[in-house]
Parts: sequence; structure tokens; C-alpha cells
Amino acid sequence: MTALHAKKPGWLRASGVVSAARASMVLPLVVFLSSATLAQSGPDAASAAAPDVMIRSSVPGAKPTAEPGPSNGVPEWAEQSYKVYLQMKARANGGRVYTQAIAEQMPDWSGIWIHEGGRTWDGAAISREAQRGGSDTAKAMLADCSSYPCKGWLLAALTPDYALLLREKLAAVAHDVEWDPDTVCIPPGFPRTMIEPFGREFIDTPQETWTIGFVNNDIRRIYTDGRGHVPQDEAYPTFDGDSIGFWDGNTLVVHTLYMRGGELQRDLPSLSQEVSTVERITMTDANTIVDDATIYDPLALREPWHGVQKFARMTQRHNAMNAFSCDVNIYQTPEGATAFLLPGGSANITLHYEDLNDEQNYGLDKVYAYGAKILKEQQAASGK
Amino acid sequence: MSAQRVDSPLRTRFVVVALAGALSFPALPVLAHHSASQFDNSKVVTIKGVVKEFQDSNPHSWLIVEAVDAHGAVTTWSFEAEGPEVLLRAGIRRSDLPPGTSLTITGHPMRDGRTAATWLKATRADGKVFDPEQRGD
Repeated sequence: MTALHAKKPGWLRASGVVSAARASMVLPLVVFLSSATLAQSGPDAASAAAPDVMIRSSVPGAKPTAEPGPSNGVPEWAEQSYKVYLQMKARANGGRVYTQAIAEQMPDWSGIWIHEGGRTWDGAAISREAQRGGSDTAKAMLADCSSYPCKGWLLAALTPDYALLLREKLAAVAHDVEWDPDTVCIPPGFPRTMIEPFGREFIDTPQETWTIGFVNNDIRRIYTDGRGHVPQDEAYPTFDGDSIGFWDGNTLVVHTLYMRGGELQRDLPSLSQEVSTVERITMTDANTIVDDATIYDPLALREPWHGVQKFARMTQRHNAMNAFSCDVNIYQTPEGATAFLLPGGSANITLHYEDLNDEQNYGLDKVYAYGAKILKEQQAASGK
Repeated sequence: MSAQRVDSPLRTRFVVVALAGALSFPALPVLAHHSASQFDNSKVVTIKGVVKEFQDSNPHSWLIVEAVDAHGAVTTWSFEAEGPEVLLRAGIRRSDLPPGTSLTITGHPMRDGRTAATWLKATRADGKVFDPEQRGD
């Protein structure tokens, strides 16, 4: 069993596992929700999936499509974020519903946008050194941070298990063993995709909104056609999860769950498969889109982790959204580090079968194991 | 900042400049697609040579440069940069650096001694500078 698997049970293969950290996640609700709504969530919801809704095209004669009903429940681990989302929806009186006939009234988010604030979730709320990443940043974080949140470096309130995982990764990175799933064609997935440092499009239509990134088939879909979440007994972890949303004025409000977890970035913590999010995406001025987003994860986080992701409109030439492939010349060393062939070079590489439901973590497991070894050796050397 | 001269196995002479720490460089999105841990950001190598090939491609481009020493021995260096969009935004086109172009190029060298580096700045014989991280139109 690998390091990450030992500490991160997936709900798909370990349903019913209850984390001790989960008990601390329950926060008081400010707005009272109707008992009918709350009754849809919780352990019994799987057996009471809501009836499908029929999604109808505006094209005469088009056959309707069956999609999950709007009031399907969510698992216990996602209840907190879902309640916040439903509160926002109640305040917006259900949100504005667009149709094809009034599509031109929707916000115009056309253009290509780039994330600001480095490969971080905290953005401008942390130091420039923290935004830089790499071995020097890892060394400084190891020296300055004994727990998280750690002011100036990382504002996530990590649980002890995930703080240790991060420490192991930083120990590896400090020794120049750094790995990125992007390099082997693994999609960034959500929420990581929202902090990738590449061009991005936001395309809103009445039925769904897409965020399209440069890397590895990175197309995220947010459904605003009235469907609900996938019923629990039909859900499985996907790279971008299951996103539903509604329009609150010019703001797209989104709830997402059933993601794969994995690392948020190569210098940031991992998240578990019990991650869920609430986002409010708005064009705040003609050249800025803001995703005000909160991550909930009872296994990885002691408290929800709020971040403001800011995207600036790109105005230079040559911003076409070309496919950004992985690199066939890159492989991983036994320690877990990125390695690559130089032009004309060659290498013999042994591949091992990987669990496809956990492929986003296979390279990271090696990094965590290497970092754990370093920490153990350092502890032994210091006599502690 | 200190400088020393290093002899490569092929007797090609180049200059390695050890910087006073990586903080001398601004936070730039160098090699965002994969880790740059194989490169030593505390060192800068300077190579004077001739372009052999410009592989202008996603996700990374390679500028391959041949350096010839006083005895005629050739060392091939590979300089890695981001893909074509980033290079085009920096005003770098394939036609700027065709095979045979004389230049002086700097980069962070690989830690394992292989003759490759990140592409920091290439200066053509006519003085024109090609900096992949420059954000000009």
C-alpha cells in the first residue's frame, strides 16, 4: 500500500469510512433551509434518488434528454458545502434561468484569460516567495511552518494527516525531487485546473458553462439546465467532478463534488476524494474574471479553505488555445522526480500497472515515499 | 557573484556563473508544464555557438546549439523553453534563429552535467536579444 493510499481512503472503494476529522467540520448554519431540502441529503438519500428531469432542446422535434433530478441528495461529507450552495440559491430566489431565446442577455465572458497569483490557491494573500514554488520555497516552508495554516506561506487549515503528507512532499521537493501529473497526460482536474498558469476560456451558454484550459484535454462543464447532482449510487470520482450551478445576476454560482482529489499543485497539498466546492464566478470588470471559491474536504481540511482566483484578459497576439500535450520524452525516476530525455537521447523505462481510479496519484506516491524517507533520516540524525 | 571557468569532457570552454542564490531571479513561470528540478537555478551557463536546430513545439521547445572550441571539438547543447505561444508572445519566431545562426545563449544548466539548460537569453551576432519570458507583443 502506498503512502497516499494509506492515508486517503476513497469513498468509492471505502464507502462508510468515517474520518475523525469530519466531526469538526460541522459549522452552524446562518440561514434555515426547508426540511424538504435537507431531507434530500444524508445517508439515506442514495435510496431515494429524485426522478429525472427532461432537458429539452429549442430545436423543434428534438427528443428530450433525461438527466438527474434537481433535488438529489449528496453524501454526508459534502453536506456542508451543499448547504451553503443551497442557501445562496434560496437568496437568489432560485437564480435566473436563461433560454436559447434570451442567450444574448448572458454575460459575455469571451476572450482568453490567464490566472494570476502563481500556482497557488491563496494568491495575493501569501508571499511572493510562496508563489514561486520549487526547492528554495520548499526549504523555507519546512523551516517556517510546523502546522497549517502558516501565515505568508499557505492558508489551508490542514488536518494532521494531510499536513504530514505536505511535509513529506516538501522534503522531497527541497531535495529536487518534484513531480507533476501534467507531464504524463493526466488532466489537471478541478479544482487544480483553476490555478493552472495557462490560457483559459470561459464559455457560458444557457444550458452549461465550460472552462477550457490549455492542458491535457482540460474541459470542465458546469450544468445550469436545471439538473441536480448525480445520485450517490451512480457517482464515481472524475477529474472535474459533478458541477451544477445557477445564475445569481451576473454571477455563476457552482457546487461541485465527486472529484478525484490528488494534488492541488506540485507545491501545494493533496486533497482527498471527499472534496467539494462552492464557487461564485463573476466578471468584475471588463478585463477581470474572479472565481471566489471555497474548498471543503473533511479528510484534508479542518476548516473550509477560501481562495480568490483572479483571471486577467490576455491582450497579446498569439493567444490561440492550442492543445497543450504532455511530453513523450518525460519519465519518472525511482525517487519520483521528473526526468526527461534530451534531443537524441534514449532510456529504458519499466512501467507498472496503475489503478486507473487513482492514476492522478501514482507519481505522487513515489514523491511522498521519498520525502517520508528523508524526514525519517533527518529525525534519526537529530536523535529525536 | 563569482565566475569560474570549467572544462567540459570535450574541452569546450564555457563560463559557469554561480549566483548569490536563486532570489536573484524574478518569479517567472519557467517550465510550468513540468518541474524544473533537473536544472540548477543557482547557476548560469553561457554558450557561444551556432544554431543546429530549432524544435518549436508544444509543450516545450528546444533550441539546439553547437559550440566549437579552439581545437575544433564540437559540443551540442540543448536549451529548453516553453511552447510556441509563449515564444511568439516574446517575439521569437523560427525565422529568427535558422540553422547556422551565430549566437551567445545563457541558461540554468542541468544538475547531472548533461549539456542542456533552460533558455534564459539568446543574443544573436547582430546584437538582437531573444528572451522567452519577455512579454512583448
